[in-house]
Amino acid sequence: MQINYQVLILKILEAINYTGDKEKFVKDFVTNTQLQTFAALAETLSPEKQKKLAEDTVSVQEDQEKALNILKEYFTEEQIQKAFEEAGIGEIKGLLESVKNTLNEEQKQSVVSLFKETSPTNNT
Amino acid sequence: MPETSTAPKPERVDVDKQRQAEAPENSNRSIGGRVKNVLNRVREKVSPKYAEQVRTQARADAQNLSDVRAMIAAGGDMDKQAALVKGFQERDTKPPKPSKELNKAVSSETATRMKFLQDLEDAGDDREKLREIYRREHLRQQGLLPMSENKTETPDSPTDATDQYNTTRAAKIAESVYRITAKSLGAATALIPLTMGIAAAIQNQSDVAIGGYAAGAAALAGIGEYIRYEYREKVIEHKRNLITNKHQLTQKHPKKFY
Repeated sequence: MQINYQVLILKILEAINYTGDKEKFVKDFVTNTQLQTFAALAETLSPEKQKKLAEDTVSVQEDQEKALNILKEYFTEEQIQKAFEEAGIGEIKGLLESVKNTLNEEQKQSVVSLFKETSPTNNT
Repeated sequence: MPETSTAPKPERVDVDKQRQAEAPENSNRSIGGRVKNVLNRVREKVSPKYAEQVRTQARADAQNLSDVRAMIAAGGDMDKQAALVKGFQERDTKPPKPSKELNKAVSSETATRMKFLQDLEDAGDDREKLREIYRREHLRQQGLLPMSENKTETPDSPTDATDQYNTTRAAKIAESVYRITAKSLGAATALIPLTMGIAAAIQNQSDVAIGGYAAGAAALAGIGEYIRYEYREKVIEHKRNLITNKHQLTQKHPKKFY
């Protein structure tokens, strides 16, 4: 089963009874994942190419399409997708590691149920 | 034919003794004390102009890092980010004025440096301690340890733990991005297009196959242990029921079993 990344983060917050501003948290969390993706991708480039990529991105301003085209000059869409998924796994793992000691049995059960639902091996 | 010299050979100089004679304050010092002494001498010899350059660079680095953190704190709010960038540009065109935050960052770095020197002095000749101090300093320089080693409070609620994770990660990731982009430009200015580019790339596939990985991530994070524990408890209960049933059956129908 595939799931939208933002929806998954929101579901985790609901499972652990997060009482803060969920929307803001998800937005920040996704931004972190995006930046982590960029850092991971850029680290695969030579220092010269890293410098060129950083310079190229300055000219983009707020043009999302242009930003995408620049990234595509350096990486394939598959590379970006894979880097994002890996960054996402790392962030979710880190988040769960940070909160696990603060969860009660009910909250743990909710997280477990959530991952049972989203697991690809779950045919129900 | 080479001339043979009859002059007496010069006496071999004991460098350590000579140094002690020149600097008697070193004679009874530990390794840490000597290191500090050398550093103090270097500090005295550094020209004020160079010292000012180092301070200016430290302020600029702290400012860039602070900008990156502000951009991350703005989240995906484009208006807020644009206002921040405008503010950064206006500020950069004006003559620099050290802010409280900057002074704090610089003094934090100075405090960490002073602690490093103090630790060296305290360690004396204990090689194990010296090795540990240098190992931590190396990690700190690599960005793998926080600049300031003040302990943070352990959160006791999921909300606090979650918020603390997000804040810590934002700072850590900002530093990674900063290390890459600051080689050629102000990192904060580059953040908007960077995040937008990545967002545009993943928007093409809004449903990412993250669910399966997340299950693996949960197992790795130790929540999976709970699943295994729950399963083990069920197996134990099942076995216990089987034994009880067998016991009841043997009581009722002993001949069938013997």
